[in-house]
Amino acid sequence: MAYLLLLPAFVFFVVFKFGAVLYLIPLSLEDWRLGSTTRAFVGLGNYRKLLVSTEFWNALTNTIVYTVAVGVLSIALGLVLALAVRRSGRLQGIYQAVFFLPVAATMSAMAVVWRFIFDTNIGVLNAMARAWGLSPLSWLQDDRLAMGAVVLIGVWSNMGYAMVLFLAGLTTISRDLYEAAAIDGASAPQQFRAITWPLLSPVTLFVVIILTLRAVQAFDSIKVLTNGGPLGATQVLSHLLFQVGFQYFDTGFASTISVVFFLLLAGVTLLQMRVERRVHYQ
Amino acid sequence: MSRFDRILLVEEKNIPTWIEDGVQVRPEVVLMRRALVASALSTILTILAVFAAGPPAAAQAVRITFVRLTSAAHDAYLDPMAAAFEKAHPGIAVESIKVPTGGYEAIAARALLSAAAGTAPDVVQVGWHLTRTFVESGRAVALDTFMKADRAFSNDNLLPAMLELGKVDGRYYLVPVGISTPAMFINEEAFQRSGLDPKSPPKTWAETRAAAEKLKAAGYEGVLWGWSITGNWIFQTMLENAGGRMASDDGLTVTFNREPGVRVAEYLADLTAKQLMPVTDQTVQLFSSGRLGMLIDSSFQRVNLPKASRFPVRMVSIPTPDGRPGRLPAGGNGIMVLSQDVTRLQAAWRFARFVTEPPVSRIVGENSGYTPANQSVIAALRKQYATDPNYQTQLNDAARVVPWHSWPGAHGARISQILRDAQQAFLLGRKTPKAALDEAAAQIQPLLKP
Repeated sequence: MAYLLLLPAFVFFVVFKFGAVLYLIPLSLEDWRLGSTTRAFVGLGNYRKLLVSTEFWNALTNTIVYTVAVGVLSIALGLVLALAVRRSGRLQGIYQAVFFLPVAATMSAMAVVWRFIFDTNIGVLNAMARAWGLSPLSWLQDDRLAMGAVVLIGVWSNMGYAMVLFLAGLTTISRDLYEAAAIDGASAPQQFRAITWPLLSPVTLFVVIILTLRAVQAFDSIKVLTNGGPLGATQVLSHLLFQVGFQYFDTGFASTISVVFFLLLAGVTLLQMRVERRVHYQ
Repeated sequence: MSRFDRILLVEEKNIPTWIEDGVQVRPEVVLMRRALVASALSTILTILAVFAAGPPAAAQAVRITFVRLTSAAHDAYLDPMAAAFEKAHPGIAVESIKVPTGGYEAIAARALLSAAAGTAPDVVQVGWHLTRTFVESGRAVALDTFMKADRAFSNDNLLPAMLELGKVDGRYYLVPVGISTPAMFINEEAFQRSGLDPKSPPKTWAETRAAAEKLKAAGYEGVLWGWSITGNWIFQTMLENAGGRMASDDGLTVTFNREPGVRVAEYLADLTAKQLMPVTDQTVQLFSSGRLGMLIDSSFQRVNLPKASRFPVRMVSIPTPDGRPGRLPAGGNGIMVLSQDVTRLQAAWRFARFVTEPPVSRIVGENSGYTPANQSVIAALRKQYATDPNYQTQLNDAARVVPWHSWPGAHGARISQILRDAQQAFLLGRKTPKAALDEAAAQIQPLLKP
């Protein structure tokens, strides 16, 4: 009976999710342009093209840089925020809401707002720079700054998420442990190193997994702010495959990118799952 | 038999009867069934489609789908256009499928995706530079047979240059809605405050640079040649006015990196190096903020920019190297027909034909920055807007259009991106103009297959 009840959801999942993903594999072996009436089987041709494609390697590097930067910074800041917010007493609810807001907001809409903040000529950031006598910067038009700007937005939109998860983790740590440590004369940093951090490690791992996935999938902010530019400086895999598929209409090659992207993600997830087994304190 | 031949057969078999019948389109129930059979989608989607279309026998109307742009500026002429068509053709309903972001590429993606799923839209609004993409996908219907057979259609109505723009390999695919040309917009207030006379705008590149210097001295941004605008339109314009071409006549050898191209690139790179031109793609926002003196953008902005700006905006012909009237590659869009079955194909042709007729040309001419296709309307608009110098500039320029370079083969959009990156590289000073263009040429050349 249980399986019967699961069936509709299962069928839906297989047809619309799994089926679509599987369909990418034959597509990745074809030279097919979106909507075209002709298609040709090219075997591993697209994969060979991918290996020598500078745009793919550039996008892969950028994806790794972006993911690591956003992941590390969001987690670090999220943890700091969680510890700070927990001590803020009555205002805790308000702080939580404020920092969580970017997570709940629609990224594409927020990205439009950020575009106005970063704009070289009419942006708030440069207006402030001018007011303080600093020279304005072309945040999104300069290939040396754009990645930083995009990472900043990524951190802004993710640290609240990490914070909420850490807050939940902190509440599970027993007060007794801190009291015992205090009696033994442990200072606050020592308490953090000996109690908080180790006991938070399962939560930390979970946060790492979730944020990695969120960062790897980042698309909206990059699409709205930079379109992968300038000069490919913020080109990540998710945006590259959109561009190849829906702007160059090269569906076959875009499918190849998707398949490789999928395999990479699956690899990272498996790795994280193996680590997870070692981290849990039971 | 390819789909293309099938369409031709359909054309030959059906047009004569249809023409003799006169103007009225007769909806046939058969077609609904045929559409269902043709649909490659799963049964679920088919059922949904039937629900969406209503009971076939009861609905006496043909419904055609129209994939189009949408924004305040585009709705201003597209909404009245669809309404006028329905009013003039009671048997045909137009269902607009609006694509809010992503421009012409997003429209093309939407239309081609639907086509791949077996539910191709009937008419699509297509940017000139994407004509080839549709034709090479095999989904576009050549309109020559219709144009010849339909006595109600008259070639003479249309600005000849415009109709030519929709031609690929000798056949007509795109019926022009309106064209735009590159134009220069002047912030009159900035000009006056910089000691410049907006009534005698710069005509040569050297004068433009000199004006930009004065603007900069007065605290403004000088000039923005809209390098980021779709398909490297402005670069092509400057290149052709400098005596160069994007590619050889057969389209198979890139030539933009030869002397004229390098000269254009060096001119632009010098402007940005001296901070006389900002390297931004936010052309309209920057201009309407009042910080920019001169913007070279699409004449489509003639309506939009003055509305968005709190200062008088003057539109003039673009500066050329020597000040003589330049070549103006046409921008803008047209209507392309993708219908899959006979009745809808006929209805779609009606729509395409209607676009060339005076009422629509008038709607386009009065509500958008495009120059419409119909010659009699253009003449009327010239009188109607005799006191509007900006409009006169637009109409004068429109008569001089040349085709937008369309890259052969399947890689037009990718080539555009390579060229855009090349421009950005020399504008930001990351590469020398010559090196940037040479590298782009080396990347593009292998993409041009015979």
